[in-house]
Amino acid sequence: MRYVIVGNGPAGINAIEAIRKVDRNNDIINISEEPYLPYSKPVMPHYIGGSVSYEKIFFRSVDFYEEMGVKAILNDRVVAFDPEKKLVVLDSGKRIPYDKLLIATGGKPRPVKIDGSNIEGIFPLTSLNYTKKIIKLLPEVKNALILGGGPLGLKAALALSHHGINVKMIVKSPQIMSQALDPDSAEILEEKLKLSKVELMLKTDVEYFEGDERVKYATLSNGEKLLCDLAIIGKGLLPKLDFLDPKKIRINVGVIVNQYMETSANDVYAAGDVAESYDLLTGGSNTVAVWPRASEQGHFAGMNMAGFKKPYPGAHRMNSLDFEGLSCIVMGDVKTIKEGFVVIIQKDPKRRIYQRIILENGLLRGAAIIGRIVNVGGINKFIRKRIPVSMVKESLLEDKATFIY
Amino acid sequence: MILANIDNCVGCRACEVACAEKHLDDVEGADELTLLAARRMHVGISMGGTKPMPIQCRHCEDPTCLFACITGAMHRDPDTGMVLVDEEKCVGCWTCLKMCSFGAIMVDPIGHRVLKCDKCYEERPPACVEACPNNVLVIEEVEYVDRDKCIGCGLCESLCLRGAIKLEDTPEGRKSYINQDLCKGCGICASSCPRDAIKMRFFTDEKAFEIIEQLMGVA
Repeated sequence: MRYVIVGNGPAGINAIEAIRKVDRNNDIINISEEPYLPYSKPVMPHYIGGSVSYEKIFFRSVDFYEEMGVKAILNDRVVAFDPEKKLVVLDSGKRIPYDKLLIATGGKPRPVKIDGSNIEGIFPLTSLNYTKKIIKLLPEVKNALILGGGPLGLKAALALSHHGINVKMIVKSPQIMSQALDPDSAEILEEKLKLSKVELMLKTDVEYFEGDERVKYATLSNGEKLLCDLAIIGKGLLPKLDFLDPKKIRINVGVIVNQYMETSANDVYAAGDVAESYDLLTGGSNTVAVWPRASEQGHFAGMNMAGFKKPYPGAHRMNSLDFEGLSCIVMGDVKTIKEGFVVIIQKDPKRRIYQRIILENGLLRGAAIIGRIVNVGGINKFIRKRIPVSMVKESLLEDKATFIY
Repeated sequence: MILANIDNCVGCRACEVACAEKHLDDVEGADELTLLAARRMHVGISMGGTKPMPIQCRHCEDPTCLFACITGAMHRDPDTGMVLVDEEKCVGCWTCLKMCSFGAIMVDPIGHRVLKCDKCYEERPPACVEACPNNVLVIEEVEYVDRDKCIGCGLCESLCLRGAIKLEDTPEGRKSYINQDLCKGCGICASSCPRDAIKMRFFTDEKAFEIIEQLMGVA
């Protein structure tokens, strides 16, 4: 019996841990195209900002593979897989047969159609290699652009401004975090950005980049020409489906999985950003790229691969970040407002507190809690477990209630 | 296991203060004035509820906070089985807070990181249990090993799904040892032991009869 796990992000690593919990003997092989031990991508902005050192970007110990008894094949890529012969083929030519395969390749940056985006000095923030290049450039950088207003881009903007760099955020939508947040909540974060000396340019996009060896200028869609010696593109992630053939495995946006994290191919599982799984709120499916979803799916995939039938309850969107003391926690969907939805808003502009929860038929649908951290675990549980909230509606945003079980 | 008999809890918060005092040195800048900043557990009320109760980390079997942690700061200590946070590694992203439905993870208001119960490491009893004036917090061993009978065969160790049993070298040879922080009292080890060396503290016949009699109003 041999488990093969492709990818060593949170999904892959949690799958290994889950398998080892119940199966201490069978072979596990972990393949990653990057040469590094498991490291954390959401920590990359902290690493750029200098608040996290190189040793601390790795989210498991350096002996992880030895402790778990896992054979790691790093710096090699899966180029093909054959679900009938049950084997994967690597870039180096190696052919690795499997009994159970987990696809946990994660996401890749959404491609952008901007002229000149291949000039040196323009990076997505999706790998340690790019991050290392960014850090190497930093001493020479004076004007940086961040494209996209997602959480990772926001964190990167703050990190760069810490280095004394002029940072401009170019966001196509009329607000930041347009996928997760409603306009009112976003406004509070936008104000905070201004205080942190990040210039925000909404409703515009970069039309083209210019530069010879390195990027020098960026021209916006309104014709404005900006100085730019570093650009970070953070326009979201798409599932990384490189070696997957839609004829061999069912794919929509991501690899479609059932509640046991099984794909349409026999003995092949998928988890994390690459997987398209059940969405708790809509009843459809989603490919939200967030860390807890990936780890949890990895865990469930691992358990099921090892023979424990354990259904995965599904996921919903969530984000949390901290803007130098202003916390922002979003759970579920706070954007969609339809007839019959109840919106409860509580705000205290002086203390920069803004709380918004959305109810649908007595069930909690989403919550955005900015400026304080109160009851978030309980609220999230209400959303995840679809528990009616009529009994506790009043205490949801109060300080005294702290938890539910 | 730390059990909470919440019928007795009056919400005096003596446990919180004891916890904070115990961990005062861990929080830089915390002094007597900001004492509670150092606490790793608190007294809270369930949403919609009315009764206070002490809330400390449950050291879950599949901890959702561990799934949430983006830095690996939240980890399971291999020796004690406890879920601990490496405070140097925590970047304060608050993801674990929203994944823990017990509300057991505390925010350090000074250091921009999370704090959580470490059960006062190996010290017994933990500060909160010791401080409780009303016998709300008590520490109970659910299963124990009769070391005279144990032959160190290791069957229990291989069967325990929670990794709560380990073999230990003792002067009398290898004997099994139950980690009370991890044990959830499922009884698999007790039922499988070929020498009848593992005993359950609670679910004895006497205990069961007692509960039945109580329910029937006989006792």
